[in-house]
Amino acid sequence: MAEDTSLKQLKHRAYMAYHQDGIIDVLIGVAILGFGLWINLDQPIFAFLYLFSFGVYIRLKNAITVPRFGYVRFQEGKRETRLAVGIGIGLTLLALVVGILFLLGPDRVGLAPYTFLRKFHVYVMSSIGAIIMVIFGLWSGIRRLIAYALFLTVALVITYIQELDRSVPLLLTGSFLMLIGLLLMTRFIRGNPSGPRQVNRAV
Amino acid sequence: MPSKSQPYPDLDPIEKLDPAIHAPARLMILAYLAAVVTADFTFLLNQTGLTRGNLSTHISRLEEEGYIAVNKEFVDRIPRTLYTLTESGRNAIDDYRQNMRQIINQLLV
Repeated sequence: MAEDTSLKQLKHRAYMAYHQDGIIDVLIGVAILGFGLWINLDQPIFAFLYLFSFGVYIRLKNAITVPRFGYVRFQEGKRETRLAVGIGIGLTLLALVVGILFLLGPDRVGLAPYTFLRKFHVYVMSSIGAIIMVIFGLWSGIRRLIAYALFLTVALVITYIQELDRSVPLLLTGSFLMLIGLLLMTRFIRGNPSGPRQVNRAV
Repeated sequence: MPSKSQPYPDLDPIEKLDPAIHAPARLMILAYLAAVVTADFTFLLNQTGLTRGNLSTHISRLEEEGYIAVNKEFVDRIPRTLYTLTESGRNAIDDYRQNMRQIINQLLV
C-alpha cells in the first residue's frame, strides 16, 4: 500500500507540473472575457472567443508544454466519484446563487421562470460556467479552477448587491484568470527551457 | 561471526535482485513509467534529471530486458517516441519490491 501511495504521489507531482503551464487558465480567462465583452459591447462576435479558446488548447499544449516538459499520458483515477462530488457541489452553488437572487430581488414575488431567466440570464449563465469550472476542477484534479469558480461567484453576488453593470464580474474574472495564466506560463517557460537539459545525476 | 545457533542469514533475496532494475537510474525510469500510462523521452529526461546519453543507454537496456515497450508516432509530422511499461516490467518491479522488503526485514534489522 505504501508503494502504491508513493507511485500516486509521483504521478500527482508529475501531473500537477504538467498542468502548471497556465494554458488552461488563459483559455478559460479568454472564454469568460469574451462573454463579458459580448454583454458589455453588445457584440455577439466575441462569442467566438469560446470556440477559439477550446480549439487551440491542444495546439498550445503541443507548442508550449510538450517541447519543454515532454509528452505524458496519465492513468485515469476514480473519475466517477470526483464527477459526482463535482456535480453535487455545482448544484449547491447554483442553488445558492439562485436562492440569493430570489432573496435579494425586490420583485421576487410572482416572478415567473421565463421572466426570471430574462432578467437574470447573465447570472444564471455565469453560475453554470462556475459549476462547469468546479466539476472540471474536481475531475481533472486542478484545484485552482475551484478557486476561480468561487471568485466568479463572489464577483457575481457583489455585482448584484452593488447594482454594477452585469458584465463587470465576467470582465474582472476573465482578466484575473488571464493574468494568473500568463504568470504561470512565464514561470513554466522559464523553469522548463526548450531543448536538451544536461543535468548529471545517478547513472 | 554468527554462532551455530545463529546461522548465516538467507542471502537468497540479494541474489534474486534483478540487476536490470537495481541501478538507480533504471529504477527511476521504471518508477515514472509505472506511475503514468506512457511518456516520451523529454518527459523522462526532465523527471529523472539524467543526461540524454545516460537516459538513452538505460532505456535501451530496459527495452532489451522487455520491461518497456517503445512506440513511435507522428504528431503534426513530428516524430514522437513513447515508452510504456510492459506487463513483464510491472512484474519485475513487484518482484524487486518483495526482494528488497525481505532484505530489509531479514538482513538489515
